[in-house]
Amino acid sequence: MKRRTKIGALLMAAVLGMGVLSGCGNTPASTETPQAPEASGTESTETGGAEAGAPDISEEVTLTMYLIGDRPVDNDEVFAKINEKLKAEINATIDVKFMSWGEYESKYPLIFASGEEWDIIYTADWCFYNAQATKQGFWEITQEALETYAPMTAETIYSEAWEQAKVNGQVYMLPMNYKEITSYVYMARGDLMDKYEITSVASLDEAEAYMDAIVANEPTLIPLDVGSDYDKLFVFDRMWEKANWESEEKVAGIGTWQAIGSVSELDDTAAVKGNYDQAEFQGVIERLKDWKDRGFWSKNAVVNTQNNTESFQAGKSALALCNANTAKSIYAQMSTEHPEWDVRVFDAQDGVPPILNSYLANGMSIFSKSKNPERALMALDYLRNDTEVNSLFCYGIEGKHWEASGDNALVSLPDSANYAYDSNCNWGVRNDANWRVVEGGIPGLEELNEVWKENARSRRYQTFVFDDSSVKNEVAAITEIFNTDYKLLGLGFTDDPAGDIAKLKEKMTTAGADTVYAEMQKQAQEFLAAQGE
Amino acid sequence: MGMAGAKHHGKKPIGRDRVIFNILSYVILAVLSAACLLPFLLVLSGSVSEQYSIQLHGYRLIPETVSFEAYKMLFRIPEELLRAYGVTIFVTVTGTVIGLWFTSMAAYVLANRDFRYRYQVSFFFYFTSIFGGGLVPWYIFNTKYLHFHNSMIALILPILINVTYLLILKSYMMSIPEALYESAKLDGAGDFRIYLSIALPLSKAGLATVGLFIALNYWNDWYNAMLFLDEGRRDMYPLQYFLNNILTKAQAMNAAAARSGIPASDVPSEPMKLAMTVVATGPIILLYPFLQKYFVKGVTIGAVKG
Amino acid sequence: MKKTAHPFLRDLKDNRVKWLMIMPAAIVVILMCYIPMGGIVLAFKEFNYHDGIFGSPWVGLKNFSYFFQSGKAWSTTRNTILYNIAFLCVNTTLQITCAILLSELAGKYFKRITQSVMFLPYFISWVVVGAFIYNMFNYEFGAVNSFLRTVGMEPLDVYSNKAAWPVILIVVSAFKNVGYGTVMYLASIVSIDGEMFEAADLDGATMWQKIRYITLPCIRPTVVILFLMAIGTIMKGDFQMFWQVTGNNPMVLEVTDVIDTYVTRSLLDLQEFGMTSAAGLYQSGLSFILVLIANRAVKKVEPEYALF
Repeated sequence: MKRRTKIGALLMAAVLGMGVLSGCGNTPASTETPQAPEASGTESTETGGAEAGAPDISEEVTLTMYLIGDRPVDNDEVFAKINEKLKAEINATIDVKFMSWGEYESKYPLIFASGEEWDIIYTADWCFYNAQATKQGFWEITQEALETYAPMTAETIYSEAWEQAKVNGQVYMLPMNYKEITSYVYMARGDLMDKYEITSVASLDEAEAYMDAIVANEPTLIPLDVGSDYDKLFVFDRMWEKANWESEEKVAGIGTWQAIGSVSELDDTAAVKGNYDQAEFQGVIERLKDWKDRGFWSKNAVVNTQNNTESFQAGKSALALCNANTAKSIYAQMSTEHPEWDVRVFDAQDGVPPILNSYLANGMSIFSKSKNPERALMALDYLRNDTEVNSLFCYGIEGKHWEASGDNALVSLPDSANYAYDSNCNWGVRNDANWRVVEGGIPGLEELNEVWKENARSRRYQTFVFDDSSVKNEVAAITEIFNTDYKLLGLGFTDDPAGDIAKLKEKMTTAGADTVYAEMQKQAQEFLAAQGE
Repeated sequence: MGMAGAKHHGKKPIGRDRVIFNILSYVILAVLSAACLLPFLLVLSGSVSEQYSIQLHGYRLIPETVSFEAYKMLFRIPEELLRAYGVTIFVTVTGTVIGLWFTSMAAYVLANRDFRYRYQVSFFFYFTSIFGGGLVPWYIFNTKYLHFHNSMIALILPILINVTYLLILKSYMMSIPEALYESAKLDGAGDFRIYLSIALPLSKAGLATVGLFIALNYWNDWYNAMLFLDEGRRDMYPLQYFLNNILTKAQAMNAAAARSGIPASDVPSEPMKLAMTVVATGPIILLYPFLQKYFVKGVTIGAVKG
Repeated sequence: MKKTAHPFLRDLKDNRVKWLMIMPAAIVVILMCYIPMGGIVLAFKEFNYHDGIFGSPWVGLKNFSYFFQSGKAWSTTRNTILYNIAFLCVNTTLQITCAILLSELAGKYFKRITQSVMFLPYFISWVVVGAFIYNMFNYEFGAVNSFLRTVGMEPLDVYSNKAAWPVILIVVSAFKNVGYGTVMYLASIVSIDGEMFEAADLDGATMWQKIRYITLPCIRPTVVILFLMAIGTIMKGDFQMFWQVTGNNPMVLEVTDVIDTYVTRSLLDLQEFGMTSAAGLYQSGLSFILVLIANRAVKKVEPEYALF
């Protein structure tokens, strides 16, 4: 029973501390918030042949589906409509259960163990996909099963997504069929920019000049009030990605983000190194230290539980760094509440092409002890591919919660308060073929979006998934270092960058980083071989 | 039965030692109380502040502007909040009465010097406070075999017996003079009679203490509700879990908004955290003054005998 | 039950009322603690859902190795024990002092109000306490530093100052627990036979003498039992307190990291039941050894007070 206090405490931390984002606070920034879809290159048709092998559906079944979050007011109404269709097509209905953001971290593994009967669950790389798959928590989705029970999916699923979902060669998840890019923007105060004659904040250098002006003239403002949770490495990421993109070796991250590993994309032997062993690392840390020393963010940033957008909204800081969707979400509110601030949004990619997110950032899995795994797969097939069912799940009832605006956009109606757009943990069934974005937002953002989409690229190791089962002890020790020493460096908290990087390296070596990187390299080579490169 | 002993204070003229002692006591206790009161005042004032004000200036004793938004959100559906209070009160009362009864019976036996196996049985209880099987096996056992899912008993049984309280109560009961038991025994009273007529009345302060602690545990428990209640059983949510849920839900909506770029709503989550403390503390803090009559020094044991 | 069972069976019969009175509590403990305790085997297994707790493959001591490999085993164990000793000493002294003061005071309303007020901190969750601490000590906006700046002094950077944290944690722990613990000792003091004080008054004893020779000796059993209980949990940190109050601050982890916070930080993403179980077993095992020693020592001096 003593475990209880601990996990309970953690929960409280998640519930009361940072709120929901701390729930996914363990997610790397790049998978944190899904982005505007990439419309191009999604030629997927949804005219799948539904009659493959004609599975037996004579017995009516009710499938229990677990989602993360809270039941939207109109959830049952929406699912009544979904069930109408499912009943007619596959003689099954779905009963939805929810576990809230505050409790999913402890409840998620428990429902696998409890003996409770259920069938489908939301999962993701940041939401225990690997952990549960290796513990035989999920039903394996074979190619054959896919073709028999989910013909529409078999036809439309992106092959990279299917490959990515493999754990030890087996697939346990239907990843979203949705290409998303994460791109970052700065939000700055127009009034202050005009006052100090700053015309643009669209690069690290320009941001530096702007923040310098703030430090010199606005003692009550913190220039960029980064927090200690999910945005702790935002500034580091900007600098590090820029440095890597401009490096000759085209360094890129590989494996789980906590492993701090990177590899040159040009190196066919896939030699994995710690970030701290890359030539550019020290320069980035030195710049971060310099920024921190100049007071660009709080001396207590490592314990600040507010994230930088919250501070910006409250008028405590002069600059925010966030992804484009977060900016879109708060922009309207800020313009009405504080028109005098004249909030302006700038591209923070600074020439670095945005990254296509992992497909595993969202997906759906079937419980290994489900009584009706085949029917569950058939239901997922409809949830993913049937335009009507998919739109119901993702946006609610047309005419009540939303209204179409062209083929790729929608307008939210007042009732959407009871079933908000893309908010009912439907992310696992997002499908580019049916995707609609919300109209409106930040002036100029659409143009930026176009540029980003054009530049977006997949990394060479984008679909590589590291199987850490043979090096779990080392990964645990490295996770600890990531959460402590690495976090400090990433926020510029160091008096001696070279010395502290050496110390980091020493600690990583003691923790067994070399073993992990060797294993990673071995798997990466197999990955390249399998890809026929 | 006597509270009579309290009067020994007045028996002789107040000496110098008592004057010094009193001055010291008042000063120390007043300072300590002030230190304990201050944070709670901050909680109170923060709960009626505006979100931005807390984010901008932190907590203040006097709120910059007064806003009851946080309370409005908590009281949005008053029936539900009242029902949550009801569940918590029911669980607290039932759990405390049964828990105190079971605990005191066991404590009485363990305090009994006639009981040959008291060390072994004490060890049997104590051992569980050191070793445990961990959450997962515990959860599996409770759901698979005891069928705790969505049952009221899941809110009561897990924290019914607290071994620490049991052993503390045992130590209180051991301070009852043995002669009392002996004379009762000579009168032909059985163990249960002695427990009822001597052990319980003479350990009122101990019972009040342990009862208070058990009650507080029930009052503050939300973890068992989280584990065993489905989201569909809102009618069984105890207060703390209910309040937590309102907050997470509000925050989840904002996070979803940020994720998909739809306009964020304005949730006063900072004041809400503090308002939750106020709403949850309110009633239970009133319990304590009722118990204080049991904490009067100098009960003359002899008075019970007579 | 062989030969030795005889006296036990006889005792069961002779003292059946006593045994019956223990039964309800014992059954709850068996259900809630002893049966699930079988799960301890997880510490030696690589768990999977298919085979369940008992069917999953054995992995020997592998689950323990990460903790000792990490290089943090010693420092976190040391911190955990030292903090618990400090809390025990400071809190016990403060709580006993308050209990004695309250029990001797005559002013009824003052007494009642102070007693209730001292209980208030217990209701403030650690999250909120953590937020208060941050508000007090934040470098740029914190109340303490704002004050220092207005009087023209240099602001303090508490969050990078290792020496400050043990003090802060000890003060905060005392603050949260003062009301709770005071009640426990107060209950013990008020159960002292009033005749003893009356006799002392007749002999002309001073306040100090009465406290020294009557009150303190009489509450010794309670102190001893609480001390032994504390030894039993000496390997566990109050997780929420350490997590929330220090904000998991990497700059001072060296002096604030306890076993529970360390294990949580490194295993949160892995969801390895076996590894958490192993860490728990290490904590329990070490506590158990310490308790056996402490209990034996108590038994030598004062057999009546021993736990078992």
